[in-house]
This record gives sequence, structure tokens and C-alpha cells, in this order.
Amino acid sequence: MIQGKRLVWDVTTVVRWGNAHAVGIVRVEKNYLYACLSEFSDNIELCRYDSGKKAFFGVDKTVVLSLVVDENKRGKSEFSDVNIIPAWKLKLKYKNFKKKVVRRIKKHSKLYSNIVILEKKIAGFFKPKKEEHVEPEFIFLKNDVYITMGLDWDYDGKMKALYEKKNKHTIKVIVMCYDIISILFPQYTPKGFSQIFTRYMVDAMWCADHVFCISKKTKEDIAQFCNDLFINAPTFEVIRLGSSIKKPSSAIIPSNATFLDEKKFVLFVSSIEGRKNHMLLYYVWSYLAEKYTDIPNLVFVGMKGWLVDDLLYSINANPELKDKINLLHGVSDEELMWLYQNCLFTVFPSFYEGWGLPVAESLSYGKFCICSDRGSLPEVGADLVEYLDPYDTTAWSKRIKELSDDVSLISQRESEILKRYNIYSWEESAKTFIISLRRKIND
Amino acid sequence: MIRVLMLGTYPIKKPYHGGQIRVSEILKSLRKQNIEAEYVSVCYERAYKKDELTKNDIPLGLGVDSRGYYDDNPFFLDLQTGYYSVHNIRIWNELNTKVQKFKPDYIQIEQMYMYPFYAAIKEKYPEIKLVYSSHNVEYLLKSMILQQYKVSKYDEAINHIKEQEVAAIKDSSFVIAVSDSDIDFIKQYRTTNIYHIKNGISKKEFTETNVNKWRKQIGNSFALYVGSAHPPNLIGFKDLMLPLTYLTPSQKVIVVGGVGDMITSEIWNNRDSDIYTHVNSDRFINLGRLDESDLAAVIQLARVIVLPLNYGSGSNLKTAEALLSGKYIVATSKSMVGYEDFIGTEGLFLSDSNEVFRRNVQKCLSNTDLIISDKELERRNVVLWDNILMGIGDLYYKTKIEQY
Repeated sequence: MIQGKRLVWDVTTVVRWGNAHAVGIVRVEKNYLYACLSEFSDNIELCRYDSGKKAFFGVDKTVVLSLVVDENKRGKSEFSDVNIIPAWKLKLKYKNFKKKVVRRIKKHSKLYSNIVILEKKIAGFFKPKKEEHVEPEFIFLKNDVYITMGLDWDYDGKMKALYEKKNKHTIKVIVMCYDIISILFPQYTPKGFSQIFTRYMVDAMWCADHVFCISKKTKEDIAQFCNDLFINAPTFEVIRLGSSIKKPSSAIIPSNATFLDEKKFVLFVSSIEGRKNHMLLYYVWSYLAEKYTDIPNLVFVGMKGWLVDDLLYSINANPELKDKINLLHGVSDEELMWLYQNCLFTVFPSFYEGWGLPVAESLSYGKFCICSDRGSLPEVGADLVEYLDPYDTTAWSKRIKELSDDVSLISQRESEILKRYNIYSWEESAKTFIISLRRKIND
Repeated sequence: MIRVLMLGTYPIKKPYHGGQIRVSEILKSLRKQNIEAEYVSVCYERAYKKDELTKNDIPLGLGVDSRGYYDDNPFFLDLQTGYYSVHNIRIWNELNTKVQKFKPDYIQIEQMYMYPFYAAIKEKYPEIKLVYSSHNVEYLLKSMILQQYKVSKYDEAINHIKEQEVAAIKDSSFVIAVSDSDIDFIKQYRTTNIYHIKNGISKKEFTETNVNKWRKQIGNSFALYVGSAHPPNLIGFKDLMLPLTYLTPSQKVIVVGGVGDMITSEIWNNRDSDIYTHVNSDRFINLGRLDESDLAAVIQLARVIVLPLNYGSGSNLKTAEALLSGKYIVATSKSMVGYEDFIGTEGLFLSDSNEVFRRNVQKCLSNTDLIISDKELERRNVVLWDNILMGIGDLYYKTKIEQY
């Protein structure tokens, strides 16, 4: 029972993503929101933040319910790749594009002044002449408990606006922290993003009374961050994400990779970006291809992300590897299931993770994984996976070759996984989350 | 009546930075205390607006910076000024004419840069005595600035500055110094006739209209930093205050004075490599230069005044202003040089490490406004120029009698 307090859930991200195929964070939010909508029913209100108007607005529960119910009925693998470009990225792209164009046309000053005038006219055309219906702002009440767990760094000024509301209405703020990788390792993010993310995280920690962290490592990292930067620390709590997968009824070989049916292959499921360390595997396979004739294929499943153009060029251009390393993206859940079922084992050499769902996914399919020993990954795989230093190419080469040559070694590890790996369901995770949330509301 | 010709390297018609204010106040006090005083500068005119200059400010002249003295390095403009006061015929003639017309008993040099001119004119008029008005230990400060800006291969220039500084100390009838630590340096070269004249301030008057105007724009939940475009001001701010993560999203650091542009450049020049760029720019407002009445209003609104000075000597005029404001003060030992008597008074937090400095700023901003007793405020009036410079004229009369 909530003692007369209202739970206000910020669904900005859920609303913005609608029914689009969602990134992991959006799916986490939808899973928890789905459970909380029925648990708190009359005591829950939904709001969203509008960056343009710099204000919060109410959101109809039935609209959101249809989005989260739909998510829970999808029957797809829980976490797959991004296909929506975030707002900040669009802004940066537009800024850079505009800069280039302006630089070029400024040489012709008359043309430039005409374009400036045209730009103003276009802006004026799209501006509503007179708003017939002004949407009322969401009204926060004293002692509301506000929770947000979306992609908040995408919404310019949101945390600042929230801080004002928090102080004005004495509301309690609960935030979800997935990781602070963009702060710890700005080199793995595109230019300009770590600055945006750092601002978000500093402001979010000033707003927060309580922070749910998705791993012990994330909790350690964020607590250290607050301490180092003299931010009055909120309380932190680890909440374990679910690892259950809604498996499709049947598996299908990917239509554009039917050749895999006759090959041995190793699987790496992850967006392709600098931090995930596909580069290590490129070196490993280069080394193995040079030394041995019989080596398995390496299959990357994931969308192209940040800072990997050179790597992808190298893979394509390398005559030894272009048939050995296969890139697949946009695979269906049925195809992904086939890939998991038929691979020798999986690899995950990421430099850092806030959790590491692909490792949990691999274990859920009963597949052994060779995994990086960094960040939160040891929390996910415990002693069921094998850990290697993500910088040690020699160790990875040696172990991948050993396992590829002796399938009995893999079978032993797989039978251990089948015996001992407990799949933590999303339903259980949501129940635990609700207990923690209720405690925080009543504090 | 005693006549004193003061020489410096910047104009003082519209005094803004610490050196200008000190020179301007000394000039006013001498005149009030029955001394006929004039101030003449040789200055790099392009650094000032036209209405900041008078006929007593002799321009270095366009193109003077391409004459090659110390590689035209802008860090040595002041040293170049002293050099050209002797080696440039036009400048020498203009200064010589001033001396001939004014017939000073004393030439008082503000800092040591115009010492070469005194040394040369003394050959012509040996009866003119020197007074050395030190503002800090210049060669040390210059050396630190060059290190910070990674300007190398100028050991000779630093030695040159030190030589002039020592010569001025030795050659003068008396020396005026700003702080105890400066006096310690001076005492290595002379033991008598050293007078300690701290920096002071004039009382700033604010109007309610101005305060209300600024309240609408900047509120009152901010730490105020007032500083000129003097490199140590930037370095102290960077070392002790950045990144501004310890401020809540609604708190700000407001900067007034030339250092604001330097901080803005610092933040934006590092925007690709510094992950705190947006945090800093959200929490930082540069008001630039303000006139006295606006500055008074902004001071009135500030919750805390910060003095993040971590190297350099002399005494910071801003310290006196901060003390007189009756606001919380977060200061370093360096910034309290000359004002040690006030360390430990209510609302003043001495903070020499960046951790303590930030924690104290945070503490002051989350407190309610400081209410300081009338008695303590009265005690702080000793920082006013009128009180500090009360006996300066007597130094000349006393010295004149001794020399007679």
C-alpha cells in the first residue's frame, strides 16, 4: 500500500519509441512499467518531458499500456539492436552538416544572406500561428515519488527542469543507472557524446534520492563518481535484471547466411562498436588464418555502431578473412535462435559493460562463452563462462583454437551450464523491483 | 611643497585592474596630503580604449612591438616598455620634457619596469630621488606565469627583471611594499625605510533598482568571482574550482572582470577532451566587465565570494572587497596575504586544497545568507583606502627632512 503518496512514472522514452524495435534500456523500462501499472494501478500517474517546451505533461495510461503490453507480447529476444537515431546524434549531425554548408556558401556572401532569410521564413512557416489548444503542464504534488529509467540524456534540460520541480514540490526522485561507460571511457563514444552524458549524469545524481543500479559494478562506479565530484550522494541499490528469453517456436537459418549450415562458427552478438572490442577478434582470426588452415568462421550479429569504419573496411579488404568473418544484422528472433543453437560457442571481449545481457543470453541458450574479465561481466557469467583479458590477443587465440579443435571441452562446459544456470525471469525481477520501489516510496 | 612624479606602464584614468586601482588611490591620497603629484605612463596603447587614455599616457606607438626586443613576446610588453623609455627617442623626449616641466623631487616607479628610465634620467638630474613602489615580487610572478603558459627560453628576461627589481630596491630613498612576504624579499637587499602599505578598496554603493535588475537576471544562489585578465586568476580558478560538478543544477559561479573571458576560452578550447565542458558551461556565467554600481549590486546578491588564488604574491584587492561585503568568503592562504588578521573570522573559510575549496563553496551556497555583526563590519573598515593611505604623505616629508 502506498501511504497516500503518488508514484509518477516518467514515460518520455517509452512514448517516444512507441512500437519501434527497442534498445535494451527501453525494454527494461517497458518490462518494469508493465508490472508497476497493474501493481500500483490507481496510485500511478504518467508524465513525459518536452524538451522544446521545457515542461512536463501528463500521459494517458491506456496509450502507454498498449505500448508495454505489445512489448510483452512481442515474443522476440529481449535485447536486440538499435534502429532509432537518438536526438542528440541527429542534432550533432545537423550541426556538422550546417557548419560545412555554411563554410562553403559563406564564400558567396549574397547567397548566404539569402539562405539565412529563407531559413527564417521556413522556421516561421512551421511555427504554429496561434495555438488553439494549449496542453496543460503536468502538476506535481507534494511528496510525489517520481521515477525515470529511460534514455534521459537525449532530452536536453530535463534534469534541470526536474531539479526545479523537486525543490518546489518536495518530491522524491528515483533514477535508474545502467552504466557510466561514456564518462569512464569517453574514447569509446562519438565526439561530443560523453560531454552530453556527463552533464546528464551529474544533474541526475543531484536530482536523485535513490538510484537503482543494474549491477554491483555500476553501483561502485556511480558511487565513486559522486564521491570524486563532490555530489551529495543519493542512496544506491542493485537491481538484478531478468535474463529470461521469450524463445520463438522454431529456429531458422538466416536467409543471407545459409552457407553457415555446413560450417563451424563462433558467435559474437553485440552492436559493432569500438568498446565491444571486435578489433581483438579481428586480430585473433588474422593470426589463426595465417597459422592454420582449419579454423571456424566468426559471425558478428549486430548493427554497425560507433568508431568501427576502419575495422569494417579491414575485414572486407582482407583476402584471408573476408570469407571467415561474417557480418549479419537485422536478424529475426528465429534466426538468432538458430545461430545460438548451431554455434560452437560465443565470445564477448568487450572492454567494459554495465551488465552484459549477451552473456546471459548465451547461457540461457546453454552456450558456453569466452568473455572479457572487465566491468560487470563476472557478475553475469559467474563461473559458468571463461574470462580472459580483453587486451590479450595471444590468450584469446590460444583458447579459441583449443576449443574449436576439441568439441568435448565445450560439451563439458555446456552440461555444467545446463545443470547449474538458473534463468532469472523478468517476472521475478519485476517482483523484486516492486518490493524495493514500494520500500523507497514508504521511506 | 614636495613634488612626486609617479611612473608606470598602464593608464589610470579608468582604473580597473588591481595595479591601476592601487596607483590611482596612491595618487589621490598624495594630492590630498599636500603633495604635488602627477602620474605618467608609457603604455601599449592598443590594449586600451581611447577614452581610457590621457595626455599623460605616452603611447609605445604602432609597430613598436616589431622592433625585436625579447622577440616581441607579448609576455614581456612591460619589460619592453621600460627599455623603449630609454632607447626610443620619441618616448625618451616626451618623458624628459615631463620631468623638465614638472621638476619632481621624487620619481616614484610603480613596479620596477620604469627603472631604466630613472637610472638614465638620474645621470642628468642627480637631485631627483627614487621611491620604489613594489606591487609584488615581479620576477617570481613572471617566471610562474611563463611556466604555466609553457613559454621557455626566457631565463635572460627573468634575470633582467630581477636585476631591475633589486636595483630599484637598492637605489630608492624608501620602498613601499604590499605584503609581508614581499618585504621579506626586499629585506635581502636593504633593511631600512621599507613601508608596508596594503591594498585597500573604496566603498561600493549599490542601489535597490540595480539590485532588483540583477536579481531578475542572475538570482542569488551563486558564488561570485571577481578578477582581471591576469593569468594567475585563471590558473587558480582552474585548479581550485573546476569542474563545477559540486554545484547543484540551480547554482552558479558568476564571474566579473577580464578573467571571465579567459575562463570561457579555457572551457571551450578544451571542449573535445574535457567531459565536463557542458557541466561547466551550464553552471558558469561570465558577466565581463561591469561598472562600479553594477558590480556593487552583484556583490550584494552573491551568497559567497571566492578568492581562488594559489600562486603569486602581493595582496589581492579583491580580498579587501570581499571582506567589506560581509558575505561568506572562500579563500586561500595566498589570497589572504596582507589580510591575515581576518583569518578565522566568521564566514571566512580558508581552503588551500581543491577538495576543501569546493566543499566550502558548496557549504556556503547551501547556507542561508551570512549575517555579520556591526562590530565586525566596523573592524573591516581598515581595508578602505582612506584608512590605509592615511600617512603616505608623511613618508615623503620625513624622508625629505632626513635627506636634508
